[in-house]
Amino acid sequence: MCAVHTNHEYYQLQLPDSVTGRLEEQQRLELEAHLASCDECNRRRAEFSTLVALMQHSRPSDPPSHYFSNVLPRIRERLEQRSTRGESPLVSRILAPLGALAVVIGLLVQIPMDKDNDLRAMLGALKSDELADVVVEEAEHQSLYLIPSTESLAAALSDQAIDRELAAAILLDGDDATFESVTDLSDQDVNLILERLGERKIL
Amino acid sequence: MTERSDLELIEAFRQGEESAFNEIVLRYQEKIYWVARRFLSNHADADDIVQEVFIRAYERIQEFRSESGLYTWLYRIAVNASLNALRRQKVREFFHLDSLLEVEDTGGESPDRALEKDEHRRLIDEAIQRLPEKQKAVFVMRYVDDLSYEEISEILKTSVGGLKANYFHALRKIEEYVRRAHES
Repeated sequence: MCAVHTNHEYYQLQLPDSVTGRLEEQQRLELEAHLASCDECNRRRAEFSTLVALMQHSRPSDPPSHYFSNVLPRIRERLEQRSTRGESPLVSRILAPLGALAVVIGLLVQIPMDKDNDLRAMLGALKSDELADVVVEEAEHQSLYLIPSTESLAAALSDQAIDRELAAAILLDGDDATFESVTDLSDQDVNLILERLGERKIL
Repeated sequence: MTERSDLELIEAFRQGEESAFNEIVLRYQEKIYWVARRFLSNHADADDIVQEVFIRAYERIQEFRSESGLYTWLYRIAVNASLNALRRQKVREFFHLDSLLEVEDTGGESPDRALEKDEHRRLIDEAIQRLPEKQKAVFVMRYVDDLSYEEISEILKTSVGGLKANYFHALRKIEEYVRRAHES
């Protein structure tokens, strides 16, 4: 025998599945019994029903025609590029971290002081390789390159080859960093870097 | 000729048959596209995710364990990649670069037709994009992709009760956003 719930919140949480027809028969009967005496749930269910009907008639537009016939060739092309890309030690171990750092500082300098905390929270939520990706993407729009080309920076960063000592020296002002690459940075590392960058910005 | 199963394709690919990977892409590209599209709402970003998902799958095929289905594995990669893309979008927005980066996405429609884009669809898209990350993920997986709470729980590592609450609040917020827009 199924236990009959008397909790209003319990039935509220069944409403989305009710309007999309995904409740099991027993759940549906229990909900109907609750609805017989609950105006709030009745009103909410009517609202959800209207919304679901609206959403069923509002599907996103289709992708461009022939899109799906081009996906595989483009994936193959990128895989080919990744396997044949030569690694330049100069770019990947020295210029890339310098360039990325320069872009981050450049971006931070442009940010008003009162947004510092929001920025810290947002960047802290990013993994370090994602942060590097964003930096590279933004570099293309900020004209802040200090390296031969953004392409080579992107290529180097996507290889995630950052010299640990150089990164420690530049990003952490000589602290004993223990990461091997940008992907090994912990949240703590990121926060520390942001703090240091914040100090540089003030200076 | 009989179509090979997912596991047969994976095994063939692991043994060095490159064309097996092509079959995997062709089999799942459309499903993965729509997963990403629901999260990111525009074609260009969804396309990036599709590329990323299959490149990761190619490089990490050794990590695939047959206990979970191939699609479940790809789906999980797509959800994580989409959520990461959303976080990056937030950073871009913070830097106020959206206006610089914004490219009109007509999704393959003619410009005239794009201009006549359905008002309801736009409002619903806006409402979904405004949802907190977790609620959006649950909404897409439950409402759009029709996954069970157990499957979503496995992907998001959240209790079923928590997922139901997220789903309820997602629907409530979308409904309120659309209704208020109509009222104003």
